[in-house]
Amino acid sequence: MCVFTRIKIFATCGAICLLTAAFAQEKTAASPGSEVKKIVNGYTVTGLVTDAATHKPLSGVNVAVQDVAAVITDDKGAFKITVPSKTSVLQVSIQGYQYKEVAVNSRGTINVALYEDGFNSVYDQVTLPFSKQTKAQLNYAVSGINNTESSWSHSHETIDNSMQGQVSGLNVIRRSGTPGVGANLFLHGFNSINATNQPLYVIDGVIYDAASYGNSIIDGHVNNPLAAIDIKDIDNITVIKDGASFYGSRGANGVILITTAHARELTTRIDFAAYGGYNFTPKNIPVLNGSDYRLYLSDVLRSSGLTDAQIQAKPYMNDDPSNPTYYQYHNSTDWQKKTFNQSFNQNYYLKITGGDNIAKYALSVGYLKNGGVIDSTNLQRYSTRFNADLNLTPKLTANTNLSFASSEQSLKDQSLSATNPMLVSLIKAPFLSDRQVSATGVQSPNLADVDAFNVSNPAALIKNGQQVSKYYRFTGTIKFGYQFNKHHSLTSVTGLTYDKVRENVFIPRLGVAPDTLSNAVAYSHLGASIQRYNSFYNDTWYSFKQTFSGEQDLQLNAGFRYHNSQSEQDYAQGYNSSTDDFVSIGNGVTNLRQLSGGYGKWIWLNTYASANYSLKHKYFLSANLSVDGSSRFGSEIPNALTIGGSKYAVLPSVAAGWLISSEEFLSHSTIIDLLKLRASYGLTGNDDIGNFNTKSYYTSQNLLGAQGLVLNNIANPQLQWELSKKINLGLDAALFNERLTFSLDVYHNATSKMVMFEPLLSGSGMTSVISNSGAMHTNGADLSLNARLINNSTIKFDAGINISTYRNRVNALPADNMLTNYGGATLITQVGQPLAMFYGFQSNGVYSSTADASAAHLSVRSTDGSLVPFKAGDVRFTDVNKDGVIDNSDRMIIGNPNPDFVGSINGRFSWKNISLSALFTFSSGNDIYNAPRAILQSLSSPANQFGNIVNRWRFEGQVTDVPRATYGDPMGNTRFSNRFIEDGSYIRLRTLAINYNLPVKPKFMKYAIVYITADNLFTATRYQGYDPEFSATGSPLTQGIDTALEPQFRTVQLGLRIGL
Amino acid sequence: MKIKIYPILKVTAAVVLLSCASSCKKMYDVQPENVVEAKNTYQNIYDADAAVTGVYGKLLNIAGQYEVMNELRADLMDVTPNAGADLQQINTHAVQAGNAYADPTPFYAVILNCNDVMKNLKVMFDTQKLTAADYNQRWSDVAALRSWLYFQLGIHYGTIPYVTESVSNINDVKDPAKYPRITLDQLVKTLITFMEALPYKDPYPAANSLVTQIDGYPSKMFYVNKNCLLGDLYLWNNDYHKAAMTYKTVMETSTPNGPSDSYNYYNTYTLNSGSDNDAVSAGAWQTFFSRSMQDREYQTEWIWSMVFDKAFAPENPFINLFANSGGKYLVKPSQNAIDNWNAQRQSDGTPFDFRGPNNTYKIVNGQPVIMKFLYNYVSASTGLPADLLAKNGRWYIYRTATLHLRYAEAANRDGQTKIAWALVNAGIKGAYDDTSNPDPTQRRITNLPFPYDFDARKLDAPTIRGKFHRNLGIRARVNTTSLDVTLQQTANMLPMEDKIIDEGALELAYEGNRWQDLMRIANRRGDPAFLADKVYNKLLKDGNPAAATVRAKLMDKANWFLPFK
Repeated sequence: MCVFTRIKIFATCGAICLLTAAFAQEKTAASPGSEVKKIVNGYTVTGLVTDAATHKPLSGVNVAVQDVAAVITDDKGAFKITVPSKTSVLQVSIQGYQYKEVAVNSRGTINVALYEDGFNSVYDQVTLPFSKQTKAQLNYAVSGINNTESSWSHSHETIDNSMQGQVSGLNVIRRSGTPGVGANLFLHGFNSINATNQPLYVIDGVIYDAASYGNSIIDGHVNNPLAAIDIKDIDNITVIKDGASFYGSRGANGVILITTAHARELTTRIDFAAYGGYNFTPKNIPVLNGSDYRLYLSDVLRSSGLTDAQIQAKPYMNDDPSNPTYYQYHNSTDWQKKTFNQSFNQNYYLKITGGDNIAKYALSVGYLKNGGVIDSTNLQRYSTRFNADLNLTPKLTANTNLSFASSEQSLKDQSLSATNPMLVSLIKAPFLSDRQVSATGVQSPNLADVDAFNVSNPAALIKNGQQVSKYYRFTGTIKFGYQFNKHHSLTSVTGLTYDKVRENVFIPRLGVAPDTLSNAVAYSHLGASIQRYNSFYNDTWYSFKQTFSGEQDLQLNAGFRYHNSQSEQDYAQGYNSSTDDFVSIGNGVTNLRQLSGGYGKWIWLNTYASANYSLKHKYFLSANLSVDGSSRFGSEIPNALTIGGSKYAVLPSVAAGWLISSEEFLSHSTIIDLLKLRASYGLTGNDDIGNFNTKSYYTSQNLLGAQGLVLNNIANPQLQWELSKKINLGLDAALFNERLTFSLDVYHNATSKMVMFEPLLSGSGMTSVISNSGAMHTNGADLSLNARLINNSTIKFDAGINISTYRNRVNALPADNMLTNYGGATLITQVGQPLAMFYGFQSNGVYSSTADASAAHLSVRSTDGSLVPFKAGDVRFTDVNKDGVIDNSDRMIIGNPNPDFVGSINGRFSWKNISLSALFTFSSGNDIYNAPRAILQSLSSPANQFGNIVNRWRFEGQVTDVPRATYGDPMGNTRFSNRFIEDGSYIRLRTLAINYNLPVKPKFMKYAIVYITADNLFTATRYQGYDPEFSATGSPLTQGIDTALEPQFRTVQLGLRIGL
Repeated sequence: MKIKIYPILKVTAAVVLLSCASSCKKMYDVQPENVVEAKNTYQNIYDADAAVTGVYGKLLNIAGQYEVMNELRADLMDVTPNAGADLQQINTHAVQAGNAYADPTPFYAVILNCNDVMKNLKVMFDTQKLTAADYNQRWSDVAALRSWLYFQLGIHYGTIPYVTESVSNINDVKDPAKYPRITLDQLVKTLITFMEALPYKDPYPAANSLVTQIDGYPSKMFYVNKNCLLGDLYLWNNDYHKAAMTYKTVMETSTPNGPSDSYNYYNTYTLNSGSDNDAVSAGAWQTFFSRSMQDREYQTEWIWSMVFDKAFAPENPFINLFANSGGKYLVKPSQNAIDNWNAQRQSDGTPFDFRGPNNTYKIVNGQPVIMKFLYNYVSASTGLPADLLAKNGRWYIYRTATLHLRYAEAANRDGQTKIAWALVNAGIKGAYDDTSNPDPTQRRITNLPFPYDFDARKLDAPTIRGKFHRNLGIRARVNTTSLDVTLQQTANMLPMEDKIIDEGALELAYEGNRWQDLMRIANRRGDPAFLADKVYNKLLKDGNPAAATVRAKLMDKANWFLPFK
């Protein structure tokens, strides 16, 4: 049935394409004379091509007018060419140098100075869905990254991480320091609250679903499908930032097009690279040492109501070495050192390219093993890719991209969980040992069990706990292109994806504090999970290209994309295997086993048409139209296009560009090489609205062990895509022969029909329904500026800066405001404010004396309804509503996780064979909720505390900002307040790379390069946690909340790359 | 500009897509595989049974809220220092927005499903997927459960939306016309009409596939009793005779079995001690709450009760409410309730009522703990659980004593004060044992027409066993002294009614009846003080400073209700 439907679709859509082609044929036949002919009334241009650094003339340079004329410069670098008109454009190219386009612009003499290959030029080519274009001709806000060289010096990075600091307007926040875990990307701020904010990835023309379907059963872990791609396999990346509507209802968060490397030449080339690196452990967070901790402990125990005598009687307070427990409680353990471990990276890569006129191939294999800084964690990955280009007939070509990657990652639980060894090591009493200690002080090799405070032994979590994730992904793409003639072509790309994540978890019994389930105590925990994702994708389009007389170019494309995806997760949790040797799920106690899972299936059909038109190479106009159908869309969407009972998203966009520098009044400017103004307006959508929310369905409801069925949801047949309207204005400029280039974009993005959980009346029996009831907008600006500061034959120095800023504002919500909780923080989203602001209590120091406290007349309400006044040593909270009681109605906005601006500074210095490049990234003005510090400064339990706790309030009149120790925190001193909101601004030397090109004999090998690179060398920040950069999830509602993930760490690598 | 371009775009798009129109609609129709789409359910009898099972599964979610609303608002239950703001607000009738215990949504979540099941059962019947008998039994059951939920909502919220249509689509949900609000009085009348028209009012017959064993529990105990509900509605509406008839019908549940099914015939809902003996011991009374649901002694006493089992969700809410070991100990017996028991006397003169101390409540670790709901969790002797996490328990909703007290109330108001007196005190045989009548076959029998026809005779020559020969009065069954004999007189109808309500406090405490009982009487008498004073006394004895404010508030009938949000 399904196959039949699919065939029908292809048949019909193919028919449409052919029909359109036939129609277009007819049209061209009716307009003769469009074929290239001898230039009549030509215009002759002479000039000189030189090297920009040495100023020496370049001979053999190809100077051409597209499809019309071409000449080659002579020994003196001179050329003479007849061009069709005064507005023609000369294309200047030669191997080893940049590609450049020069507008004739009524000039008779044109001198061109070329920079070396790899120079960051405004004439660089970027890949778009249907073509390659130079940046100079684009109407859209697009950035390109040519990955060729930098990817070799950042061999251990994932694609998403590697884009950090490379593209203005793209805020890349690495999820954590865990190898391969990747990053969350936010392009031009936020576009959605409940749907995804991650850009769409399209790799080799096929949508690459980089979302993780299902939840990892390893706390704090996220599977990153982008880690399956070796960064060295990538040729270039294009980031489409505005509403180009190329991908219709999936493009609201921008589109990232990635092209993998194919063979560039026919001769066989072998590239081999090997790297080794070293990871440094992060700097310790200061916690109390043994003696300070003991003082704190007696304080907090005293506040629980114990007498001094009772406290002294505790085994850990005993100071008599003859006591059998003396040695057990008299150690000095740096638990953070026990948890973090210096580790190593290694990475090997081999690539062979070559072929003949008929077939070219690029085969690569890679292996890497990256250690993490948490002891016993690492990532191992094998990857292979086979890209081929086949000329089957003169008109028919085929390309394939086959890749397979498989990885195995050993992890530890992260996040604010009792089994996160990193967090446990912070709160573990420093006077304990990780090993059992005898009465005489002899250490056993056995790990110590849970301590007297019911805190786990971090060493047990690390040594005996198992959190393993095994992942593989296969992607296969085949592309057929048929060129009917110079003008007409038909292309079809088909892609298959198979993806599987398998996770196993074991938390041992020994040394780990038991957990309490609703009906049993969980001493050990076992888990297994499988996530699968499959997809079938086809993109077929027809292209028409025509150059008209009078210097007009027209390009038309029309086609459709079909995407059928399926995801599934099944997982099982078990408890209490008989011993810690039984680690697999089947060994848990039968009646505590829980099975669960999820399933999703969705179909998306996108029909599109695009037109690009240019006049005189200086006026550009583009239009796109996308018409999307999806199984996720409802059947009763108001005011939507209806065909055959299904609803479609109609998403058009237009863009225009004006190359001002090609106007005559600027033809003789010596300063301006290129000046371009562009504007775009477009509608895009977000289809991440859930698979089955438009239908009413039933889920299982138990009555004891009997299973019944109950209604699960209120169907919303009006549910539609989120609509994102994007307006972008841009200015691109190149000055002083491209010594200085900059690009400025300002934008306004407005999301309407935002998917929200709309609260319902009690009488409906459901709390909420998913509806398109939200709206917000984001305004922002991006600037990227590059300069070549030194340019001579031996020394070159480039510097650049990317900076971007945005302001977000919520315009409509189904309720007045929306409170969300994550990691102990409360966030408020309300109309007229940016989404997800920290919403908590304002504190203002600590009451220094009883008089001070009683003068404030503030209390909290206890569970019995009585008012308990604040005492000396408690935190002075602001009573917003002035009712004398500190409660939830006294909360206010206490922080904003959005940065004022983010960006990067890069520099590249080369001298002879050595080049040095550095990238600094920065973020300014963003607030962070330091949840681990809220635990470490709670002063309410025997957990070890943050170092500054020694300044805690201890005596009447003491002026300090650290409150008193109170067991159980009855006054709520640790409540979510600005005490734990910190400035998350930072600037970091993200990467530093030195390449040394060894002088080699060409006979022996083509080249040999030595790389020395370092990551995260230093970070300047006032943030008190391990690291200010983290992003637990891709949701805007969780940004800026530190949930104790593995921090970023310093890495130094040495690598060698040779070419044969 | 936008207006002009849009139609053109649409036309273009329409042309492009036209040819795939026929296949597209099916193409986008993707089936979820882990849930059941509406169109694929309700195909056969198993689906119908699953739907009813689902509704009762969901019903368990309201148990804790039901308990708090019905008892903490009245005079027998008080908060502990652990209670927190929500429970304190309920206790002092000062509920504020956001109070989880005053949220009607969980009730409507069950009602939503009831409406859906009723609609779909009807469709199944109309399309011959269900037989008439299968349809009538299931439809009536779900309809009665919905009525019971609405009656509860009406009692607690006053004016409520009475939704009887299945609302599963966003358009309906947002349509205010789908939520017609009616007052409690209108609601009761509507429900009476609706319940009277039910095609099937008996419990499920034994042959019905819904009467089965679920994890060792007899499922027949789980379903609402339609006649008990109808009787309660009549009683609320002051239709005393109809109420008495309906309650009497429940008492006669086992009559069609005939005397050959002797234990069931003589014991089912007749209020007895399980044998011909006159009283039960303190321990035996406790077994009504602790013994296995499979026991015949349990099944002849209980009309409606549900189960929380440690192995299955949802978690037993009563542990957190009541237990001070393993639970949060949020509520406790009020001093007023304890005083009520202490004011009683055993028939031997001891000032004591064993239903109170060590049965309904117990002092555990120095704290008074409501035990009624904890006997499947804690040890009866220590009051402590053997396994803190084995949170087994029952939700006790309706039993024979409830039925007899309600019947007595109806009879009393219907001019049969003596029968009411008999059922509350020492049973028919005690009250009607007219020794002056020389014919023993004419003693211990009321000789009144239905619903007041009771035969409590027990003679060996000739052998006569009246259906109600084991019937005991509520008080005699627990060995407490009889009420003043003058209360038998019709003239003392009002004082007798007071006593019936007082007896409910002793016998049925914490079984979810108290607020309803107080409100019904106060409403009937047009005397808010009846309710207000009782709540006032509780708060006063428990030292709550808000007592007087609460009394003043409750003197206005409008304040009896929780705010409907």
